Amino acid sequence: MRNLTSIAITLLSLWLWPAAGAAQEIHAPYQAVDGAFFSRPDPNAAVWQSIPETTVNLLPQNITQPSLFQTSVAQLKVKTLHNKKWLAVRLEWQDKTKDQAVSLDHASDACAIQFPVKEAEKTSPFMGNKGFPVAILHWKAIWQKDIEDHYQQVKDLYPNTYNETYRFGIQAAIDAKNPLSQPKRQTPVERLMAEGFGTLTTQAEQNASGWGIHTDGKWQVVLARPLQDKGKTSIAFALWEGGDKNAGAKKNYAPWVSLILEEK
Amino acid sequence: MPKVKNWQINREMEYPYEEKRPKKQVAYVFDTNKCIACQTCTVACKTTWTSGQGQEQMFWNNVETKPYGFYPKAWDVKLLKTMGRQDWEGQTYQGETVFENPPAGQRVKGHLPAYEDYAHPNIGEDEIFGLIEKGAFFSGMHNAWMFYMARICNHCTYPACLAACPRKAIYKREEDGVVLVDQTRCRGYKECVKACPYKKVFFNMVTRTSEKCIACYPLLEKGEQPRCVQTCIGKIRLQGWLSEPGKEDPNNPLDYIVRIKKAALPLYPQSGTEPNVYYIPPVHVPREFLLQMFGAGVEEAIQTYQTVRSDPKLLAAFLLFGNTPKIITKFEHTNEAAIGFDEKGNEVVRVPFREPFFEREMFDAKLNVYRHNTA
Ligand code: SF4
Ligand code: SF4
Repeated sequence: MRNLTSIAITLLSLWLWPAAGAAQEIHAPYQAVDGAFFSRPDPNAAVWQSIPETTVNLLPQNITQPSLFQTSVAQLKVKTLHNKKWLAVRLEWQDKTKDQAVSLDHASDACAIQFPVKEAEKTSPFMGNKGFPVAILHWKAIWQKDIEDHYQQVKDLYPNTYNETYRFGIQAAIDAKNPLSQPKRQTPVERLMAEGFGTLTTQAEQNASGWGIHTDGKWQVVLARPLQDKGKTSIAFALWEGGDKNAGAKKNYAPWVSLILEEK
Repeated sequence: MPKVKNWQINREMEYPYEEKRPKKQVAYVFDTNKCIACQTCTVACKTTWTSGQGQEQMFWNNVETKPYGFYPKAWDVKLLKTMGRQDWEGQTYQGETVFENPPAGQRVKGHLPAYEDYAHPNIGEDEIFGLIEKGAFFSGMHNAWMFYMARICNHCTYPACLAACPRKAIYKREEDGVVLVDQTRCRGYKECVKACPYKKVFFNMVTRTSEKCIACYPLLEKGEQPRCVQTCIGKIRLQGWLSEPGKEDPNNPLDYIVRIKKAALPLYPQSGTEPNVYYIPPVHVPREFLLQMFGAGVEEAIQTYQTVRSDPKLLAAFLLFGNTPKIITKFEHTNEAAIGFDEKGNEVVRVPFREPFFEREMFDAKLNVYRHNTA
């Protein structure tokens, strides 16, 4: 198994990524929505009704370990739009459980979109590669809960927990400013860069936004960022189903798909 | 995958990274025969490092009663089950380590405990193995057994936690071999919690990151032993530096006890991580159980331990336990005492082989009181 994987990785690193989206194209029409829409983009906003929907098939990530061998979510429905300044991407997928907690026993639902920073053909869809980084927007259900409700405490998950020594306590990751551990946050979407497996790095400027709604056994999430491309670029997707304990590399993904930014 | 040399299993093994030993390796000797399960170490650690929110069930140091105590629940039973057959041939381990042949899609063989598994850190405490027959009485040797097992992170030479982390958020310090989780890099994937054979990485649901024993490195850096060692009531612990295999120094107490006299043994060496807490096995426990737990050197270690009276140098090394907060890097002995020195060669402790004997009068004339404790 491991040999196969390493052969696969070798092949991948030699391979020039085929002209992105040979099979599929996603169109992002121009919409005259104002900037306020993007600060907390509503997945149910009327503007989405006229946008064409593309269905993207997902694969279980098993190129690096830890891996998944079966998708937790098989399909993703995608709509995008832009207003020349901002790009918004609306994702919708089936998920019976709304998972917004993290503990040994819990994992949070999450989704991400990824863009090449340089030529898509030379950029690995698997977190980028050396010299060809990728830009990632990562929405986390638990981050949204941090904002709309409160930062998760132990008693939220285990109400009978008792402790009387808290006043001496230290919380190293909070003090160390780990982006995961920030009790006060502005956005449920994290901006990251990567240049290969294990290099995911949060960005100093956190100007991405997004919002999700869970209804009728599905998530509808919009992620948005200032527009950086013109004409044609590529986009890749990843989904984590918290109910299946998806986390990190244990994810469902779709590699590069062409993204056409329409002028009108 | 690179091959590395693991002296504890006396063979090469697969490990995801090349062999790279630190300049010196933090190491401990715990004498299981002396531990009284007072949990002073546990509380010292708890109040120093893990009294915060999200750390309620987190004990970087714990003391469990074997064979029925576990923290987290059944951790080693599950480890042994995951590892399959574990045969030894002489000093060489024949089975697979946690790094060899992991299940598809995983870096290390392991299991992720549930939160509930940490809910009873004292489960099985003082429970004995074996039945006490009706009418049994004590005649010098108990016919049932149990023992106390104090546990911390082993600051392994080949940490499974480090091997499993896809982000390389765990690192082993070059200067002293301490294994740390970088709290700025960790993204809470829990792969280390799953991989550590000893279950000594913990998940903090408030910071959403993994946390583990840091070997009290602020103390190490100023030449002092960690809190759990300094506070140990039973004086069962000694912390020091272990030299690279082949470069042992007979005047370094850790090298002498562990590598030269082989009186203390690693816990479940078959895991392959080369753990660096070394246990003097409990002398009264069935050998099969100890073989499973401490590997092939058990018989020899117990014999060495039981004949320590005829080995003044080893006895001197044992006397250093729990008698100074300082890290002892060298030791020697005279006819009367064991003497420990720090890194700079200063004497930091002198322990007599025989404690001075004082006899006091039954009646204290000065205070006009009898010195006895029964009325
Ligand atoms: S005992 Fe566990 S946590 Fe500690 S270094 Fe070894 S594998 Fe890592
Ligand atoms: S302080 Fe020492 S004697 Fe007491 S439980 Fe801990 S290791 Fe055992």
